[in-house]
Amino acid sequence: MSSDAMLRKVERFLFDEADLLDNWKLKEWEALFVADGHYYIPPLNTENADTIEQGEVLFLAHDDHRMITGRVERMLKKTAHVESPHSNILHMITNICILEDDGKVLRCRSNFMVYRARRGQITNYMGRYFHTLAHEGESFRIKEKRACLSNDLLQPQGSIGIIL
Amino acid sequence: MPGNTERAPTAKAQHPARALHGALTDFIRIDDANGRFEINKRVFTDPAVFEKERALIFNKCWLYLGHESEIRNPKDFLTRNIGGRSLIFNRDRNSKVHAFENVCTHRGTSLEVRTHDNANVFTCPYHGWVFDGEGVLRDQSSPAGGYDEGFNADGRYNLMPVARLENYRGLYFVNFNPKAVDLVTYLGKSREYLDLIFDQSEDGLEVVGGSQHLVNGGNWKVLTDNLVDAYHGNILHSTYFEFLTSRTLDPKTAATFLGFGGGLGHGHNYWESTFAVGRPIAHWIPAFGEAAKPLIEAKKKELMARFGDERGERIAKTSRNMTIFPNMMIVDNVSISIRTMYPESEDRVHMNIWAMAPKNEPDLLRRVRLDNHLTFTGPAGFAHPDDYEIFERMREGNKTSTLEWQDYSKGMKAEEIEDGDRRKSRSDFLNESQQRAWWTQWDRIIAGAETLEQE
Ligand code: FES
Ligand SMILES: [Fe+2]
Repeated sequence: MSSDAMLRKVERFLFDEADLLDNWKLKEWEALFVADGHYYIPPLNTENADTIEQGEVLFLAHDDHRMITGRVERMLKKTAHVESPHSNILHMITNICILEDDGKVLRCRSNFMVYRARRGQITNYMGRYFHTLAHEGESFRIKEKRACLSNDLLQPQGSIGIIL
Repeated sequence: MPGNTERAPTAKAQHPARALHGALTDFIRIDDANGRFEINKRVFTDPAVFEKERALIFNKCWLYLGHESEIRNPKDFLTRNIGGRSLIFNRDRNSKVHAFENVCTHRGTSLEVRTHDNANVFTCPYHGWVFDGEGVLRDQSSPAGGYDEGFNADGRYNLMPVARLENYRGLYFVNFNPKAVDLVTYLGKSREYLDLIFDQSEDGLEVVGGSQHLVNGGNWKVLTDNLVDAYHGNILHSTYFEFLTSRTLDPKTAATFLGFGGGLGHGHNYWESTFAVGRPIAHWIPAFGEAAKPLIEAKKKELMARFGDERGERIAKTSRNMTIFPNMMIVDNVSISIRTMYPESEDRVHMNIWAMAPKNEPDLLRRVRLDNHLTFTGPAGFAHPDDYEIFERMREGNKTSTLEWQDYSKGMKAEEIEDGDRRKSRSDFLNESQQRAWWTQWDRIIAGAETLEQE
């Protein structure tokens, strides 16, 4: 496959993932992960946020698959008050580039802007995604999704109640 | 709703028969005979009250600045907003710890904009005044001349140190009042609880990098209140406890907690309970994984050997949340963390959360600890975001509604009070003794009855 075609394939995957999140199809989103998949949000204002490990610093989210399942189950409940009723959210993804691809595992970087509209207020989360994707047939499964925020203070968002 | 339809009292004459523990300001209404303790909502909404708090609480109480491990090496510094002032917290080249106002003494330009770093000197970008780690003005590198030889002979242009800087077990506090009582006296009985936390490691505790800093639209007192409010847990955080059940593999986890809460004097408060959420210190749960089990059991043995069965068991197994009045909290349950809530105004507050851990903790335990922290805590935890949502909703509700008085009476008739001082109280941890102890100190300070100064 040409590198352009591979780029389009990655783009398609990231856009589809964003679509699931924007439509609160979180069970379907969870199914994108491999069995030992991870979802990470490193702390703000961290150099090398793309490689740093929990332990050296405290992350904002450091989910193994059990935590991803717990997060999804929680967020689909009416009693998850911060997102009940669900906010309107929109994930914008640009500047996608493939960092490595050995035919089995592909690593890519992209820029994101996530908007959240709730009770008359719009907040946004900006940053970079680093996806580690396992090739699977015509598409991919997520081994690791890392959302590195560029916001330097959680203001006015206060929390990250949604999935980035 | 009795009481809530009355107008806010403005004259003390409305309380002719003040009980022993009666309120001193008109913001609090206490009826011991009927077990009622109520707070007027203006304390959360009125900018004039906030101004009073600035003057009487934040300018007079000991305020938490940071932990010694955050400025580990000579020349390390960090900047932090504490009680409305920007401060530099640093270690000089000889390892002495200082706190200065973060401002150039030439024209008041804010001096250091980095949050933390290691630096030989602090240089003001405007006219190039240079200060060393001891705060001494070393150089005015503007074109030579124009200043007398002895321009700074009396040190008046050195960085301004805060009036008081003291520490207890590596926790550094500042006080802007030079006449304040010393820190150890101020902490009083709360040291017993601080020790239970800081005794967890022989090597001492350290702050893990990567603080969780967020801004919320609630009143700061709603946040301090929330952290010792143990009984909202099962209700607001039902989603967390459902998740927890899957981690501890015990369906009755939430139903079996026992414990006490109350006041430790001077407005400090606590709750302590058998809150079995898994403690990375010495209480293993299945979710920590089999590999962590022997490490955690060894830790428990070590605690028992060091402290004997009773204290060892208490350190290992019971959870506790505590407040050092007014706004520093230590949470010792799913993990150990320090929180501060510094207000910018009556409806805007900065909350910081720092995870703490034993120095030299094995990597696996460190990861287990931080992962456990994140299940509940912080901007993306499974519980905190719902609290933050509530703080915002309380602001909305209080701003627009005609509800005047808010109830803090839970368990009032059941509490034991020492020396007739409601700040030293105790009852079931699911009551509100701890909140009433805090509010009683708030009331006394705002009324001018508590100066917090040396005799
Ligand atoms: S204002 Fe700092 S050097 Fe002039
Ligand atoms: Fe809570």
